[in-house]
Formats: sequence, structure tokens, C-alpha cells
Amino acid sequence: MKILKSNIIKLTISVVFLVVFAFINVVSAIASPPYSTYSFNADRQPAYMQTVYQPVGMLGQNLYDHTTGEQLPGLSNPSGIFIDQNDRIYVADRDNNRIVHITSSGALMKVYGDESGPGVLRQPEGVFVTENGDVFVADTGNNRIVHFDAGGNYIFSFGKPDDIRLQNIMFIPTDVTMDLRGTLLVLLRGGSEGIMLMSREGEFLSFFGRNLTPLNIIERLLRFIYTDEQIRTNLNRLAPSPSAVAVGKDGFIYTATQATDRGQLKKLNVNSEDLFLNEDFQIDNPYFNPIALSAITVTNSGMIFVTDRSNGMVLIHDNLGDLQIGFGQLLFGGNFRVGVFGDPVGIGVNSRYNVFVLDRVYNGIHVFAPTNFMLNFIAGIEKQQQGLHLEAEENWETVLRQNVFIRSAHEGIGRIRYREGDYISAMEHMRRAFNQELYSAARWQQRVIVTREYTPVVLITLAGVFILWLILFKILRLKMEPTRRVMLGPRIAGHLDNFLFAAQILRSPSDTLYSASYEKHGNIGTATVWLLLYLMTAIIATGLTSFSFSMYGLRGFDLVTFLVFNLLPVLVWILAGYLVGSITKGQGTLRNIFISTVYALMPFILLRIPIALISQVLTLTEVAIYNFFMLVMWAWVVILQFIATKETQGFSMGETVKNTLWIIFVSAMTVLFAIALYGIAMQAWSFLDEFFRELLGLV
Amino acid sequence: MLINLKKPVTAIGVIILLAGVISGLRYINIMRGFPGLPSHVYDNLISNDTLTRINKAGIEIIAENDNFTLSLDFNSGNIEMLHKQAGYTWRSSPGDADMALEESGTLWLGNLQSPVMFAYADDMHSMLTRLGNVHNQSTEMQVFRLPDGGTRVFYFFHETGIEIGYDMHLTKYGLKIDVPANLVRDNGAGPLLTDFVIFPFLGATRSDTDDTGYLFLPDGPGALVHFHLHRDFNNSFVETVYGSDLAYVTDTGTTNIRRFFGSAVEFPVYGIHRNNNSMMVIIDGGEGLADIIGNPAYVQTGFNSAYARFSYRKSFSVITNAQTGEGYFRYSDETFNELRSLQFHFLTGEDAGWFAMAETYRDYLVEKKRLVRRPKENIPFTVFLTGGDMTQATLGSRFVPTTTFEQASEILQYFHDMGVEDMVTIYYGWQKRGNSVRSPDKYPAARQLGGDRGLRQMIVHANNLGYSVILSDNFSTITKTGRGIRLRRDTVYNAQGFSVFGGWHLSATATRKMFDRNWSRLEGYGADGILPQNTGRFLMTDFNTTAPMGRTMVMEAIQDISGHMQNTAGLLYHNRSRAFLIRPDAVFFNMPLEGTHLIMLDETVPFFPVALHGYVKYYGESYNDMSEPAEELLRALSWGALPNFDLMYAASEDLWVLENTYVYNSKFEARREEFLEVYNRFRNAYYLISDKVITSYSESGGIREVVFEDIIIYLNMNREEIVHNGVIIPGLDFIVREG
Repeated sequence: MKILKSNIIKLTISVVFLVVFAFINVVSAIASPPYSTYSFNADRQPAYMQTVYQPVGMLGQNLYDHTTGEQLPGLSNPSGIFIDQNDRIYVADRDNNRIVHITSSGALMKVYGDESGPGVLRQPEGVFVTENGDVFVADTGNNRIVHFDAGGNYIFSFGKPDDIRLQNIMFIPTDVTMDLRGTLLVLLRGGSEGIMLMSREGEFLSFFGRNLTPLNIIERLLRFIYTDEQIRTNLNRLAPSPSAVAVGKDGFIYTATQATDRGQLKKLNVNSEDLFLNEDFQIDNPYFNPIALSAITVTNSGMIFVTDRSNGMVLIHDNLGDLQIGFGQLLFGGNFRVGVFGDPVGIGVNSRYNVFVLDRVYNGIHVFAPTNFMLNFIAGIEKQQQGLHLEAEENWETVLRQNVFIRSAHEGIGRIRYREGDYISAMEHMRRAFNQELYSAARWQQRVIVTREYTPVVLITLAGVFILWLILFKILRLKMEPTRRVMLGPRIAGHLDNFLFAAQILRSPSDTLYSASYEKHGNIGTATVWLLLYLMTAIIATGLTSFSFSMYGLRGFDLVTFLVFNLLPVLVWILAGYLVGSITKGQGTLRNIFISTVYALMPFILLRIPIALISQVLTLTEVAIYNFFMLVMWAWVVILQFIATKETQGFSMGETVKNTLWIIFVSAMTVLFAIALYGIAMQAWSFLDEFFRELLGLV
Repeated sequence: MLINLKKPVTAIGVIILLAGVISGLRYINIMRGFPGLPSHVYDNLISNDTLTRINKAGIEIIAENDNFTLSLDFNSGNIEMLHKQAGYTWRSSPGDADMALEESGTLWLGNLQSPVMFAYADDMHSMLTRLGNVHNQSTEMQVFRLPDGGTRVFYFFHETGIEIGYDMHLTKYGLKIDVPANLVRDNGAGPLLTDFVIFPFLGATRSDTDDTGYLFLPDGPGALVHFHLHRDFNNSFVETVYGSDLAYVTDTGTTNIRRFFGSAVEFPVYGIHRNNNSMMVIIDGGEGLADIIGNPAYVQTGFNSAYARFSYRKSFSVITNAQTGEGYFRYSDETFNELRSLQFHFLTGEDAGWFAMAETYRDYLVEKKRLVRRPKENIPFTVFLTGGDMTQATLGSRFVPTTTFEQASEILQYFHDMGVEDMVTIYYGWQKRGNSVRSPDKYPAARQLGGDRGLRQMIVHANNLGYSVILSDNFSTITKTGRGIRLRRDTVYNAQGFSVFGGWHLSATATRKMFDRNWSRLEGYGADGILPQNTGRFLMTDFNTTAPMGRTMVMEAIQDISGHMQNTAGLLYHNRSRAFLIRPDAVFFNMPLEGTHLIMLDETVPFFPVALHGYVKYYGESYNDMSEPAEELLRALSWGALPNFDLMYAASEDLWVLENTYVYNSKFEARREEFLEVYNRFRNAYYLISDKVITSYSESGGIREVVFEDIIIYLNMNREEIVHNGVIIPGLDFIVREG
């Protein structure tokens, strides 16, 4: 159902997007780089923004020795890049069997890999350089790791460790890096066990950061049914191996994985636990392909830069793994431009925050320079990470002046306002930052102030209302009933009575439902009105629920989607109830089932809006209260539905249980059938369409 | 049986059958009798039969004037053009010494020595094309004398049955080549001509000789590719003039059509500079059918070359499954029968580089478009205001006002109070449904903004302050039919016979009709001018059966419409700076100030601004969109492109729908001081240069020195202060010197 929902939403968005993208860009920037830049909201939906990384040029297509001026062959099918503390760039130049060291301006400084002897490299794909210049190479073609010293001299190499635990493991290293303790992290081709941890001397330590095996629903079901033997033979799916690994300054290990639909980006602690909780990092827009993260690098402040080879983009996440900005475009045809990526396989960021993207199609490195806007953004994140919230204000203000959709900036300013005690402004910024937790925190503070200020007024008002009620109804014994009859006339009053009768279901469900079905107390008209009320309640409550509990509220509301998820289930339930009842000799007619089902929604109609209102004064710390109310409401609805089935059909308890299960089953089948029918209809249409198009082509 | 299934099954069967018949009829109806793309009616087409044939052999002089001598090789058709003053000979085929160094195979050796190069396909469905030239086609060549003194060269390529001919005229600037519609032909069934080039290697230069120089290519404002000895990463510049013809992009459902939007050659000029000589080519006719191609040495051959390749027949994919985009390849039955013309200008001297080319192009434009020098005038504070737009709402969509007419007046009043004397406001989204403009259903002015009355009052208020208001409107794209607009009759159709963009793009005829119909409403508002959105943005061959049009005709029709709009509405603003839209007094936004960052290009130069400044008023990118405002403002000044700003009264972050547009932050209250400051900083400089042409341009070490006749502007593009010729220029700042 979630999938269906997201598809419908995507469809809606795609239509809107098409219109918006194609035609509204009236002042579309022409004097801009050949790629787009996007900011992302909390759901990773993109919106255009101004350029934050400007194209500078391309390195590595020509390589000149900076001392002799001699020209060497340019990069050929390069597959790994590493930038060290001193901004030196190392590239694993796969098809030239070498590692090249170049400067930020592209001058060739050194070539690693000997002409002969043990230091000859064969198709190296990864490189890592330590602080004192030791070079570790994933010598892929030779199935080994090679260690050179800073002068380029071969020191040592090692292949697959001799360890009983590695019997079934192929040792084809594709990348190597080192954590803060000096342990080597080796990525293996087809390494479904995860990253191999090794000592600098080549001893096997353990595996780390294994990905989950992606299974579809049917495979999951089969796993449940199959014996162990059958699982081994039939469900032998391997976990995807991480495609890139990086070590943060905080010691965490970051991995990027391509062929997976969750946990594409992970931040792992020493226990191999993912701090990003195996989140899905997909971009939520129909014009984007499913992401395939091919390379990763982490800045000193913990910002994560990854390359996405399926969309041709660099994606920039903040230190919390939140996707903030993306830029780039996928190469199409032969228009080779900086920032239009062919196959980005490596990424590095230097100390001045220039971005270097290694591209296998270009045999070169795209170079980008941050704009002033981006430098402010980075400075903001950096200061915030160091706890210097107040100092970041100027940076965030600069960012927001140029673009008001930058979430991090709103969050930064929101934090500052919070500290300053300006909770209302803090709440506003947090809402724009899509940050429910901090919004909630500000709301809490704001509530304290409001409570202090208004408690006496509220208490006095309540007391006044109570006294008024006492006087009117208890002391003067005012009666509503006759007054109403006189005011409305007997006919309308009768309808009203009928209508209000439904509410008695809350007090005596069985009686009410029975008499609604069989004593003419209910009718279709009344039930329809209640059904409409139910729908209105759902809409209004969505709008009224606090930002703390519902991030979008009514923004992006779509009537069709709404009806599919709110009205359709009710109708399917009614239909299924009728079908099951007519087979199992239930007494309910379609009319009765309709009336009782709708009446049984009463707790929702009466409680949903008050709960939404209560949510306005609750904060995330009291989420339990909110959830409890919701649970009570839904449990009540479920129980009433059960009673409704029982009373309307005239079943015994046991029969009701059995029939309810049947109804659930039939409902599910109805939905499946409808989906199948829809699919067949679409197939038929596309067949006809294709048939006539072909026919025309032949004429 | 519980239910009788017979009836429902029969019913479903009948429905499917009906749907089939209906859709079948619909499809057949679409393609019913396509009348073919019309050619221009040329009265002066001269057939070969009426001409006298010249029979000679070897190289003979065929024309001469004060500046040039033109010789023709009667065996191969190659020419030699002697520039008398320079004593330099331009050859259509490289000389023997250069050819001796060439390492290409037979095909390219043939191409190099051929005056004509063409591509052909074996049949309708063969994706692979072959190259033909005079050497590999059993070619028969005929030379004729034209009545006006020109020379016609005509080739029969017997191998393929293709015929190509052209007329040559010697002019005071160089050479004019015309390819009349009747001189290009294939037999329609056998090998099919797809495109052709006249003089592909005229002026081609080797890099391994001592030549220095560059190719000039129309990327962005203009770009250079220097002659290099080595190019490790080889590829060519191949761009279609005025962007791809989207009528041949049929799989719109699965293609990201946006990728065709960005790339564009905005002016049809290219050239080669070699030592002290240069050749500049202006495509004077049929530019809409041309790709401009630049080949640095070692890409195709050992020569640096640039040429225009003209389409004769295009291919497309016949989409059989709209969902998956599956289809098969074929060539269009329609061929382009248009006049194609090239002007080869030959320049000489120390400064015969791109700048001289730009000046030559300026002269060409002045003559052809009858441009006049702009007066010295105050530069208006130019603001784009957005009235409102539609956004998703609880039920359907809802109008979100962003600047009401009253607020607009308030904004204008504010700037007036701040001392702004001259202001131009371009009002977007004032219509009933705002910025998205649900053409044709868009009048009256949005009620939520103040309605027709409010708009009129606002314009009166602006005029009283001495300001002008330009209304943006859309006559080219629609979002629904009705109100006299019919999908079948009025929208552009693609090569497969379906509406492009799902029927959203109006044909040229319908655009004019739409403007005429809307003018009565627009006129009533009293605006000073209009900005027609999207007019001239997409140039597409129109396969609509009611009025099919080739790309050149569409282009001419839009030129016509622009003229008509300008005559009717007063001021005309375009939001895309394109050569074919240029006309006296039309104003342009978004002058390209940056190249497209093709890796094969070495340098971006302000060719287009140099050609236009002083004659055409143009703006750069909006200040709000600039990624590095400090630098981009300076660049805009140095190239004479005026600043402009986006404003709206509401806060942009409140507008959900606008998150997908290019509005980043335009809130009036948040940015007004900043905008004013920018405007005031540059106002005087722009005032001084407003009537001047650019007479010299140089840049070194981040210092730009731009001479606008008697005004010199020094710009420091570095962050640090620099002393230049004894003048201190602060970092990222400029200095104006008069006299």
C-alpha cells in the first residue's frame, strides 16, 4: 500500500513537475553552468537553487611532468582518487597500471608503480596515503595490497591472508583506506561479507559493515516457509558489497552502496551499527533515477560528499546525513562539459572545499570551486558542529538572504533564536527546516510561557462556563428537546433526532446498531451525511494536527489520493461484509451494513479533531499521550466494527470472529483483483496504442 | 453458477472493440494526407538549363574585384581566394605541403580535398550514414555562368544519385555562397541525402606547422579553441543553431526533454583565425537547418576546421509504445527545400581576431536588421514582479497572490521615494491564474490582485511616477484548449504526427492569432509594452496538417510576429537573446555571459555583446540568480549587460509551488536596500556607455580594460587591490575613465 501511495504521489508530482519545469521558468538562467543545482527538503524532494559549485576545469586528460615538461599519457580508465591533508591528489590510473600524484592545478608530481620487480602494479583501482606520505594501493589485477613509501619505493605487499575463515572469500581488493587506529579497510570485489579489516602487515582481523541482503516480499515469504537446506540452495542471494568507504575525523566509518534500496549511505560505529539506521536515501522525484552511490568522501566537519552515477550528481549531506544540496548532470551524447558526468567513480574534497570528481568516461577529474554562498553554508555547518551556534548566525543569514529554502540555515537560525528565548521565531524557522524535534522543543518553552500567562484567565473562564451551565440546565431546568421541536418543526427535528441517534453508539453500541439496522432508526441519508462528516473530519484533522506530529499537514494535499486511502477502504469493507454475509447466511442487507459500518466510525468523527487540537499543545516528548489517544480512538472503531458485523448479520460471537476474518480476506482479494484488472486494462490499452502506431508507421 | 458472467464479458468485449475502433480512427485521422512541408516560393530559382556552361580545365580565375581574386579548379571544384591586401590565399582544400603531413585514411583524404562533403543513408531505416565527396562518388561536375556574373558549380554524384550545387559570388568582403532549393536533391528512394557541407575545409589549418591561431565558435557569448599540438581528450563542437528541433524528438514520454533546452547557439557565426588573417562565416540563410561544427586538429583529421552542416532530411524514432519509448528508426519523408546561404568574410591585419570578427558581425546586423545607434539614456532600475501563481490546495488548486497591484504601487512608490528616477517593471503572473498562465483562459487580471481596475490604476500610478510597466504574457504555449484554440488546428505537431509537449506549443499562425485576440484586453491596461513569454524559444518544424511549416519558415513567421507585436504594443522585450529576434528597439534579457563549459573550448570571449552593444539594449542574468554576485555584476558591466532584479511582496518560502521555480529569495522587504545599492553602484557607468559601441577589449591578470569609444572601464576581477597603469583598482571593483 505504501508503494501504491508513493506511486500515486509521484504521478501527481510528475504532472505538476512537468508543467512547472517545462514552462514556468520564465526567467530561466541561461548564463549558468551546464548542470542544475538542487536543494532538498526533508523528504529529499528537489527544488532548483542557484549554483553553489562553479565549474573550474578538468584535470588529468593531459599530464605534464612539472620538472621536465615532458608529456605523459593522460589518465586511462581511472577508478580511484584520494586527496590528502596537504591537498595532494592521488589517482589510481587503472589502465596505465600506475598511481599518479598531481597538484590541485594538475601538475604531475610523481608516478607510483615500478617498471619491473615486485612494485609493478596491475590495474590498481584504489589508493590511500597516510599523513607521512606512505602510499597503500589496492593492486586489483594482482589481488594484493601494495605499500610504497613517500619516495615511491616499493616497501611491502600482501595478498589474501592465510586464515581458515577466508576459505570462500575471493581476495580482489578494489579500494583501501585506513582508520584512525591504523587498521586497513579493504573493499573486495563481490565482497558480500562487507569490508575486510586488516592490519598494516596484512593480517586478517575481521569483516565489518556487512550490508543486508535485499529480499523481495515473495523471497521473504519463502524464507519463512523453506527449510534451511532449501534457503541455501534456492535463496542464495548475496548482500551487495559497499562500493566506497571513507573514514571520518570522528573515527566513524562511512560506506556507500550501489545496488540496494535502503542504507545506500551508512555511518558505522566500531560495532558496525549504522547511525543512519539503514535509511533510504533515494531522491523523491520521478525525474530522478534510483541513486547508485559510487564514491564517498567526508570532510573534517563531517559533511558527506557522494557521487551518484545513475543521475550524474554530487550529493552533499550535512554531518547528520541529511541530504542538503546536489549538483551535476548525466552526460548525454558527446557534449563533454565540466559537471556533466559520464561515470563518476571517485570524489575528493580539499582543504579549500574544492570538489574533485574522477570520471571514467572523461579520463579526467572535474574540478569545482565553491561559491561564497557555499562557503558560508559550510562554515555554518562547521561552527554548528563545534557548538559555536551563535557564531554561525552571520553565515546562515548570508545563506538565507540568497536562498530561503536552505533547511540547515533555518535550523541554525532557529537554534540561535531558541537560545535567545525567541521561541515563536524559533518555531517558525524549525518548521521551515522540517525539524520536528527542535520545533517541539521550542513549542515546549513557548507553552511554559503561555501557561504561566494565561492559566488564571483560562481557569476563570472555565469556572464561568460551568456556573452558567449549572444555572441554565440544573437550576432553571431548561430542556433542549421541546425547544428544538418548536424551533425546527417536527419534520426537520425528526431528521435531526435520527441523525443524532447515531451518536448513541458510543454509549450502547449493540442496541444502537441493532435498532439502526432493524428499527428504522437509521437510514441511508443519515449514514451518508455521517460518512461525509467522517471525510471532512479526516481532512480538517490533518490540517489541525501540530507540525510536531505531521510534517506536511495539508501541503501537497491531493483529493484523489485522499479518497483512495480514506473512502475506498470503507466501501471495500462494506462490499466484502455484504458478500461474506450473503454466503454465510448473515441477515444484513447492503443498506444495513452500510449504515452500521458508517455508524461504527463514530469515535473517529467525534475524537479525531479534539486529538488534533490537543496535538497543538503537545510536544514530541509527550508523543506517548498523542499516540495513546489515537490508539484508543482506533481500537474503539475496530471494536465497534466488530459489534456492527455481529448485530447487523445476527451472528453469534464465534461466527462473527470467523466472518470478520473472512471479510478481511475478501477485502484484500478485492483490492488485489482491482489492481490486476487495472494492470490488464493498461496492457490492453498499450497494446492497441502500439498496434495502431505500428500500423501507421507501415503505411 | 452464482452470477451469470456472459453479459459482463460480452459488455467488456464490446467496450474494448469500440475503444479499438475509436483510437484507430483517431490515429488514422492524425496522419490523413500530410500535405508535405511547403517550400518557400522562390520566384528567382534559376535552373541549370537556362545557363551557359563553362568548359575549362585546371585552375582558372573566375572572378576578381578590388580586394579579392577567386580561382576555381575545374577538375575538383576547389577554390582559391586571394586576399590582395594581405597577399594571403584561402583554399577550400589544404595545400600540398600541409596534405603531405596528413595521416588520415582514404575517406578523409578525399573529404579534405573536396569542396563538398555530404552524408547519406542507404535506405529509410539505416541508422548508419556514409560520407560522400567528389572523389568517392564518380562525380560529374558542371560549371555555369550566372546572369549576374556569379558562378554556379553543380555536382552529380553518380554513385548515389545525389545532386548538390551552389552559386558563388565575389563580394567586397569576400565570398557569398548560396544553395538554392532546386540545386539539392536525392532520388527519394535509393541512398538518401541527410546533410551536406559546402567547403568543409576552407581555411583549415594544421597544428604541427608553425601556425598560431584559433577556431572561433558560437558557444555562449563566443568561444575560442586554440591550435594545440596535443589533445588527449578529443572531441568536436557540434551544436544546432537555435537549439535542437524538438519536432524530431518523438519519445517525449521517456526522454528528459529538458536536456535539449539549455544548449543553444544564439547567433549563427563561426570562424578561423590564423596568424594575421581570419575568416568569419555568417550563415545568412537557412541557419535554422544548420549545425555548426568545430573540429580541433587530431579529432577527425590533422586539421583545425570549422564549418556549417546543413540538414536536408532528418531522422526520428517512430514510437510504437509511448510508455516505454520503444520504437524504430526512420528518416522523415519530408526534406528541407530552402535557400541556404553562407557569407565568408576575410579579414587581415594585426587585430584580425575575434574582436574584428565581432565588429564585422555588428556591421552585418546593422545593415540587415536596420539597427540604429541607441541614444544616451538613463539606465532604468529594472525589476521583475511576480503577481501570483497557482498552488496545490485542499481541493484542486488555489491562487496565491505574491504581489497585488496595490503592493506593486507601494513598491514603486518606495523606489520613487528613494530617488530612483527611471524604472521598468516587468509584471509576471498578473493574469487570472498567475504565473502559470493557463492560456488561453487568462483574463481578466487576477481578482485577488485587484482585478482589471487595480492593474490599470497601478500602471497609471507608475506612469505618473515616470516609470514604465511591461506586461508579460504568453502567446506561444497553452495549458488547455478552448476559447478558440483547438488542439488539432493550432498546436505544433512532431514528425510522427502527434502534438509536441502533449499539445502545449502553439504554431506560429496560432501565436499571431492569439496575440491579436488578446491585444484588445492588453491594450486596455495601458501598459507601455509587452514581454511575450516563450515566443522564439523553441524553433520546431511543424507537421500540423492544417499549416505545415519548415523550421526556417517558423523562424521567419516569429520574426514577423515580433515586428507585429512591437508595432502594436510599443516596447517589446524578449527573455532570450537570439540573433533572429533582433530588431530595432527590441530589448533582450538573459544575454549569455558565460560559456557552456565544453571541455574542448579554451576561452570564452564577449563576441555577441561586442556585436550588439550600442545598437541593442540587453540585460544579463537576474541578480537573484547569480551564484557569485560580486564577480558576475562586474562581468555584466564589462560586457555591457544591464542588471535586473526579481521582487515579490510575499515571502518566497511560503509558496510551496514556487519551490520548483527559480525563485530563491525575492522578498521586497528583505532585499530592497541591497538591490538599490547594486543599482546605484552601477548606474552612472551604464549611463555613460549606453550609446557607445565597444571599441576595444583586453584582459590580463584579472584586469579587464574595456573601451566604449571615449569611455574606458577598468575592472578588477581579483579579490585584491591592483595597480594598473598607475590606477588603483580595489578588489572586485571598477573604475570609469572618460575621454
